[in-house]
Amino acid sequence: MDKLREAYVGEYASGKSEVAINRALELHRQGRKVRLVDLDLVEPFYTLRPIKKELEDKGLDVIAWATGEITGLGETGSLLKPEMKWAFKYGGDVVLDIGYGVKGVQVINLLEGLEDESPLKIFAVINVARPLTASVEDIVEYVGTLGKVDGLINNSHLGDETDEEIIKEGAYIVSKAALKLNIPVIATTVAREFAHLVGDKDCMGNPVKILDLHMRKAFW
Amino acid sequence: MAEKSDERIIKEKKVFMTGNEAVAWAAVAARADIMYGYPITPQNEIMHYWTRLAPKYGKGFLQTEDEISAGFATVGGVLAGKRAFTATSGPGNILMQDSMSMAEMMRIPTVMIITQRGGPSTATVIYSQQETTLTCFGGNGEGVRIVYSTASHQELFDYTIKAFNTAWKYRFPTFVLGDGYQSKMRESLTIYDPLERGIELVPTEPFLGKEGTIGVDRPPAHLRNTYNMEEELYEVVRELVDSYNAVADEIIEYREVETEDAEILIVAMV
Repeated sequence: MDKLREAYVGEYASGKSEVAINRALELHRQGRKVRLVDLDLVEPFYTLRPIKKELEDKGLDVIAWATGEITGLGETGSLLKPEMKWAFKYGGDVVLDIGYGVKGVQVINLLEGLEDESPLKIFAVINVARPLTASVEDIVEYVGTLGKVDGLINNSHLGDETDEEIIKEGAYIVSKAALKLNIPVIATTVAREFAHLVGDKDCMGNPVKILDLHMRKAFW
Repeated sequence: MAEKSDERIIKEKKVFMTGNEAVAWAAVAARADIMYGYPITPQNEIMHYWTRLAPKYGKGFLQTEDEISAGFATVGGVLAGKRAFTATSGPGNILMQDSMSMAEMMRIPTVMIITQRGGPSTATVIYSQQETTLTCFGGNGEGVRIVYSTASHQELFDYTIKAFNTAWKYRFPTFVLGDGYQSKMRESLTIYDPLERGIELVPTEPFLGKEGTIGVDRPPAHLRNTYNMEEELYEVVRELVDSYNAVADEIIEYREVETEDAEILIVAMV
């Protein structure tokens, strides 16, 4: 069985961590051995730190600081935990949760073994309700700044006010952007409470994946 | 270019964002010209987002050497007729009280967004709403200021726009209070162009370097906040307070919830 290596990148507050957690748990449910790594060194809010134990209890191998292990809740940057550097040295799948923007993505260069074994797939998470990634042009421009990206994930939502329209609008815009970028749409992701608004595929034919939300309790 | 920029602003639209982003977008919607600022948690993304938006909308930004300078630069920007604002938090709010005292005395319509936090600059940042007293009463008592306190991302957007209007209409420094939780938390809100909603934007004008010849076309701009005598200063402050009291009814806002059957209402404020 090939080991999977995936990194989730994208705009601030686009849903990268939520998508990464759910992907890791999905792989785990398939009986795979999965490691989830918190590589968000950009900002200490809404990272995996507060829910590290909860995720470990679900059977994931989690590399993250736990809240309280390091000091400083300001944006003074975060320390790379030594294990993070060697995160790929693992006999299973590795899912990376990356901090936002270009600076966030650069952390990948700090990891050892990037070129070994199976290639790292990098997926950009897009919410078209985020104004700077709201149009096809903006998404194409933004994703272009991130370097190599292998696919897009439409995670368009409006929090508690999510409706069918925003999911469809997201599917349409993200699909058009993906076409221009010549990369696939990997999935449309929808929170479980809104699962009734969608079927197995979105309006553009992309697969739909349902998200169980873990990040609401992860403020810091 | 400005016209094209304004077109971009602002299709009315429901969005999902953090409180800090809501403030940056509101400043664009309010046609702010320039932000002066210095980084501090949890205010940073107001600056980050403003600097991402500024090139798209032809706006200015200056990161100063500290908050003392950011506050005075905002005062200076306003004196030059710019719709200028700053944003800070906690220790930065303390450092800006000096410039805001000047703004109070001289009725300079600065706009300042406060993302409340705890902790002095040397300490850990834990959030709370503990800058209400500082923001309302942090000046030296020789003038008047207006402080709006917000409860949601929508209010952050609405009242940031309103703060520019209030400041320039009444010529008092105006503040918007948020807090660190609002700054970082994400929720949906509707962003809009105030002009599209029929909200008139009060125009700016320079205090210094006005058109025309002094003594012929216009009186000199006599801007002053140094006084020799207590009596002289007393008159100045008296006038400031009277000016505020004359318009206070237009400015003060509150919302009553389930008070219909109350005979006495006790309001507590920190």
